Amino acid sequence: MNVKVFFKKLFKRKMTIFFTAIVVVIILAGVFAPILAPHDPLEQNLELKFSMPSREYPMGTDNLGRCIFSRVLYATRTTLGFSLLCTFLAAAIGIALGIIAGYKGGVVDMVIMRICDVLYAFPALVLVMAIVGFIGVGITNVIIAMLILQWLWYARVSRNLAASESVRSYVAAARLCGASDKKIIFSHILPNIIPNMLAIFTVDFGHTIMSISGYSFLGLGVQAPDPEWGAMISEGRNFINTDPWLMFWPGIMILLVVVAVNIIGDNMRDALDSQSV
Amino acid sequence: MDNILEVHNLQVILKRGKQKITAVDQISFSLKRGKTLGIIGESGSGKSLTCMGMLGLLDRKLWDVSGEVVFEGKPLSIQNRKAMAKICGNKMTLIMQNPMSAFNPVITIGKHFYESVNKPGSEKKTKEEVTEIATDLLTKMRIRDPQAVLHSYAFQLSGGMLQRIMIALALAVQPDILIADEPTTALDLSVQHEIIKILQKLQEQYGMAILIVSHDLGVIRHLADDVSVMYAGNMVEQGSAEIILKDPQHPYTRGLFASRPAFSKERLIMMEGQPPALEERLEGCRFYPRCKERCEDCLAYHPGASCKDEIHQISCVKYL
Amino acid sequence: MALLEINHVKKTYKVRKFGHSYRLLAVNDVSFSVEKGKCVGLVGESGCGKSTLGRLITGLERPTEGEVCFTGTPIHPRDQHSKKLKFARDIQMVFQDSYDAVNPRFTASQIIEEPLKNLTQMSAIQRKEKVEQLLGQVGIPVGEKDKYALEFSGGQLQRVCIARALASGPQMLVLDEPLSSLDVSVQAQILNLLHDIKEELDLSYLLISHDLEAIYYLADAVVVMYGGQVMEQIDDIGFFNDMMHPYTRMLLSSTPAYQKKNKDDAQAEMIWMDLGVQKEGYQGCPYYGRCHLAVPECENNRPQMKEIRPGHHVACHQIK
Repeated sequence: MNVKVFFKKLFKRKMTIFFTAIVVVIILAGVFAPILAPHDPLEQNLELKFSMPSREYPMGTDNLGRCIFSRVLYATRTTLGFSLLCTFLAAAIGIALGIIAGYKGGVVDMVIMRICDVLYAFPALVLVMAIVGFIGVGITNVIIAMLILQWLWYARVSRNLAASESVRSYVAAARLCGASDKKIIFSHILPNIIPNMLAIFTVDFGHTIMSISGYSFLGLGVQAPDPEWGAMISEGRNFINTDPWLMFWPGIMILLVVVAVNIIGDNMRDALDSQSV
Repeated sequence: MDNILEVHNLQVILKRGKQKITAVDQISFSLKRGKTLGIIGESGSGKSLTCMGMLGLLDRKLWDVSGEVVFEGKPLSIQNRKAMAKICGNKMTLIMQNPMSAFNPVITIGKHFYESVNKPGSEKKTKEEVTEIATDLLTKMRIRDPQAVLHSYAFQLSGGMLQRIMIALALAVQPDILIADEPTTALDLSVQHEIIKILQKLQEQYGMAILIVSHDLGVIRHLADDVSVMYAGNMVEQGSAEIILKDPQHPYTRGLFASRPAFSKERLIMMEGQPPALEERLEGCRFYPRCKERCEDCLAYHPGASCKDEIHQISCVKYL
Repeated sequence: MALLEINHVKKTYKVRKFGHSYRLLAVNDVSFSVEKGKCVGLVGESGCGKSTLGRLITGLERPTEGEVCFTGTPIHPRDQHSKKLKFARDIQMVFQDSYDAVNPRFTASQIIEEPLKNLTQMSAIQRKEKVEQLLGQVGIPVGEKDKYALEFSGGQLQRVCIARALASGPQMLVLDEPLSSLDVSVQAQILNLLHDIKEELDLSYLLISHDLEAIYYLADAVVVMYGGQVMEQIDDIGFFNDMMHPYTRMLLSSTPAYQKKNKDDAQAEMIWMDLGVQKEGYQGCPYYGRCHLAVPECENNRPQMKEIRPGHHVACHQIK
């Protein structure tokens, strides 16, 4: 699988470019939040609570008079940052184990894959709640708990891809050329499965955003008063009848990012499929 | 008229975005009743596209097919899928290269026979009648225990077996023309040889015409009464097998024949280069870059049949 | 002493098919040797174990029993279990499908550089020079060295693969069906190239192929395999026409070019069935089920190789 061709195919569609631009803009907004945000996201101003959007407060203020716009901006950092970290760790663990299983085969393969099978049997939500209940609430613990199940998908897919790559004769040729296992994995197998992994990574990133926000909404993840989209929705839900924008803004952000990421992921998969023809 | 099938100026164009690439360029040939026409060509010569194109089997989103196909004196409308479908499974049948992919893995071989005999539009036959036909054909294909084969699934059988079954399946409707696209390429040498012999025998029995497409000279030598040689979408030489195999004229045909060692240890006379890819085809004679006898006129020459005489056509500037 | 000696090599695989598992003897008690500067042609149909044997010789697989010796030293030392290949510098391989045999993300020079990096102590500048010299040797313009693997045509890429195999300065090449994925006109080029390189570098070849014409062209000695066993073996290509094992005869007479030259037609093959001849425990001659000379003895007794004249061995009960 050629990465160059892959990206060329991917960005042929205008949709992909559009949604990638959205994601990039949102990420940049998060990165430059300290510059862009008009207020400190934690600064309370009870006199101005529930005020309508104005020049001073572009998205209005919440029940404690905090600037929603600033909070949404800073929440981009927490939500996307933690999601990215979580997805990245899961991908790294999963791909590493998957490639080892697929390339080595035999007992190693069997052990890793049986572990996967066993873990697949756990319902994610219940497991995370149980673990967090055990070791305490907080975003670090939520991420640790999520990782236990999240790497499985990567491991499975990369194991199958690595297994099918390693029976191809170029791997045999590489061995004949004196390449060590490490070299074969890093310079032959890994680069050839990266595009597939990227497609999975993208879709999984969307899922993780939902999960992290979801757990924060339930009060397990990011704790008040730190801004986080899920947590903000949770805080705003008491005022849904009177001041719905408290939920509306973080909600729209989650929707936007997740939809964009999923569409990019879908297009990646299409680009991969059309290439294998 | 003893031509059962005539193809005139068949052209197949690949649509790639706004680009249009001619894959098969204005070729004409005819198939005599009860005889075999062999089309030889290397990869990219357009030999398979010719078959698919004249049967109207190419995806119209990707391919533009034009030209005239005359079957038993009546012109066929290759653009009309429905009309072609009627002819396709009944009067003309197709054998493909890869027997594995031609069978549906979840239905039995017997069911395949039943469905191909009972195509819409043809006379309904009962299960018993179909079984009888199939058993008879499979025995002719030298398959032991045809009953057991009819009850098995494609994945349980070997490639050689499946290729025979596919031929039997194609013959079950008693076609007038059998089109075989590389029917033996995926098979072992000894199996290839047997399939060819079987085809020969069946042709004698049923008197059908065969159009066989192959890159393998041996197969063509064995079966064909007439030979067409294709190169990069052009027909370069055409004539009776006797003439072409004994006394090839076109530089490409001669080069192709000399490329096989033919059980000698003498150094092979080879053609330089390789067949051009679709997009790198030249104006003028497409064989020009590899031709040992090229001259300046070649580039101005548009390939087309230039007759040496009626039964031997050569598309080369030297024979104008 | 022969350059490469194969002594009673056996390789078994565990096969699981539809629930039941058995041991498959892919290579069963094979012995022969390759002399320095000679080419041994290994002939057989698909599944006869010839490719497995090629992988055993290069060291990519370990034999279950027996040993392969290169210049007198076993290439699979008993005590050593690392995957590192002992004779990678000396024994190299050219694979069947060149597109499968190179990393699609590599350029030609990266492909050829790989063995130089891993197997030699050359500096970057020396490597660059060597790559250019190798490209010249196999007939690829040096200007194309930065083209990606998939941008080459099949024949060109096979040349790159040959250059890669030559890079470490081997004494022996295992050629596993190097022609079968190429066009006829390109096959001739590769055959000539292989012939020239062999003369130039005094290489030894093991040419694995089902193509008897190619074998005859390149080989000095021929080994015929069927069902994992050697059926016939000649040490001198001069005996080619005198090969007499029924399987060899059948192969030869299935080859149209040979028929044309020698007016030999195949004996009919009567029986078609899978006897499971490569399952462990089968005692008879593997060719029994297809042989027209078969007698009951053949089913229960495996024929041993016997020398019917100096340099010509046959394994058949019917040949005295």
